[in-house]
Amino acid sequence: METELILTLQRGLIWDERVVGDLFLGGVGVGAFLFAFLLWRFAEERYQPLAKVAAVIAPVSVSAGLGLLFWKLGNKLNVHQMMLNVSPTSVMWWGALIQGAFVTLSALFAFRLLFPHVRLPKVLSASVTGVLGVPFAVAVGIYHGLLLAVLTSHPLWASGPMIVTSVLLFTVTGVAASLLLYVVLRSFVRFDTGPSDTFAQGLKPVAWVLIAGAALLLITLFAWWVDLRFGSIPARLALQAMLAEYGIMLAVFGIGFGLVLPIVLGVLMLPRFGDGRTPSAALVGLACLLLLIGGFTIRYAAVIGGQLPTPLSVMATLS
Amino acid sequence: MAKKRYAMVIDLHRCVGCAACDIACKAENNVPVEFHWSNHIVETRGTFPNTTFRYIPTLCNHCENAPCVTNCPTTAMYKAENGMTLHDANKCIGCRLCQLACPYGVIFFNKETPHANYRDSQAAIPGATFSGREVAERAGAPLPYYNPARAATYPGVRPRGVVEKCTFCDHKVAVGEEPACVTACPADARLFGDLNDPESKPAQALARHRPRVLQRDKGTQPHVFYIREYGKA
Ligand code: SF4
Ligand code: SF4
Repeated sequence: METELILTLQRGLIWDERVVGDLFLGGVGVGAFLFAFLLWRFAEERYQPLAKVAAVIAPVSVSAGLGLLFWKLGNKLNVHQMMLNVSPTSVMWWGALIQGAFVTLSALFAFRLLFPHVRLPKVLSASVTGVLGVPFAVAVGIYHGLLLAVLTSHPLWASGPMIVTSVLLFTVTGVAASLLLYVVLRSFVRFDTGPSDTFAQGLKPVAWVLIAGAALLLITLFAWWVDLRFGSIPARLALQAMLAEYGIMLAVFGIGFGLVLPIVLGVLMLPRFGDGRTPSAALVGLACLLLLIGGFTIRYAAVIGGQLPTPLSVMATLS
Repeated sequence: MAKKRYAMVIDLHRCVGCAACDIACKAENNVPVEFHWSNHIVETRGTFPNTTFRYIPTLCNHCENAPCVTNCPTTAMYKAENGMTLHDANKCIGCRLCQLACPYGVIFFNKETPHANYRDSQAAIPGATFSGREVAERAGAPLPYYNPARAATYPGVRPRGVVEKCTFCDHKVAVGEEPACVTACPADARLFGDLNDPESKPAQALARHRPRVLQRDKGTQPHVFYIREYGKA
């Protein structure tokens, strides 16, 4: 007979889909903000409607994510305790501060982009809120990776590639969400900032960012797998358990449909950006939608799969 | 006087695996049936007649380097001066980060109002037994075995939405007594005291026997030590 171990633990997921949603939407918001800022600062006038769409996504998406997290709290009425008590060793405590600042700055930035003629103090200008928002956006993106990476009792999370994945995910999903929403809106609303058929021509650098981001994500996921596959015994067991439960989902929706297919679509579309030609809006939208599905699946597999119970052989190790 | 550093030593050779500690803990701390502040790992190996059995009592390790404390965003989970890892239910937001951070699975979350079985009006055998609710009502307490002494330092019954865990019976230690699991152990397998006092029972035991801890590689520096081996001289 093999060794049999028994230990009665509390059953069920500790962090459920709401936390996945928080991390996903937080990533989308941060990426969208950075995209909006870059477009507003450096792109031509015809891209300003896209900048506005991305700028609005940022605070809305991060706030929605925070709403999901708030919904998840067991004792919501105590949430003010995070402000009353200083807990500098807690990543989540820092996260609350940083996200609070980010939502405020990104909301102000979006307001300035949408209503540039409203008179407000100079300190609330788009330049000031935008420049201040950038480091907070990056910090929120890193925070989302770090929140899981510091939990060393979960080998799937406590790895360098986890933080890199988080940063790449916010870049890719933020830009994809902005483009997708813009493509959808454009079919209902006329943006009068120049001929719309020439609009997509200038988006070649953005297409490159998405293709490169998705390719880097593939490499990072591979590095994550190598890190765990050849890591400690608990790491190997955690990887095994996650792949057994969520491997197919991760391979099909996270990697196949979510990263490889958009890369292929992007590469096929690349020659159509420029020379007076534009790729089909539907195809751009589809590639973005797939990237979002991929991003969500990766988050889901990491957060939910990372919580599969630690093998009892590990928990019973006395030394 | 040096600060106290409370710890527990569990002598696996003395332990008989009776789980009296688990029951005593439940009664002392009003722990819900489905929670296990005091718990145990049971290991069976081999094929009859060549089998071995191992029993490892577990509880919060009151780690020196406690990840549940460092990760708590509200300081609800905190290290007391005396080395105990304690929990302030009034500050807890129920984010469950401590549960994720603890490698030992010793923190429990009150998803629902605890002790549901004592609010249930359904009799176990209709017409023959009381329902849980009737038992609690007749006992005049939230649950028949309610111990009001627990409420001296921690809510007597922890509310819905917050976590809870072993406190080394800080309410008993505060009045010079030992934790309930230590008192209840019929084999004197549990030794509790101040590690900074070389005369204390745990300090003496650790000086005589090689101490071991659970999942040492996690770097948590547990304050629950195991000496000797279950079933071996
Ligand atoms: S055993 Fe778990 S709950 Fe107890 S102090 Fe260590 S990390 Fe915290
Ligand atoms: S559940 Fe409570 S004790 Fe645990 S980390 Fe959250 S606030 Fe702290």
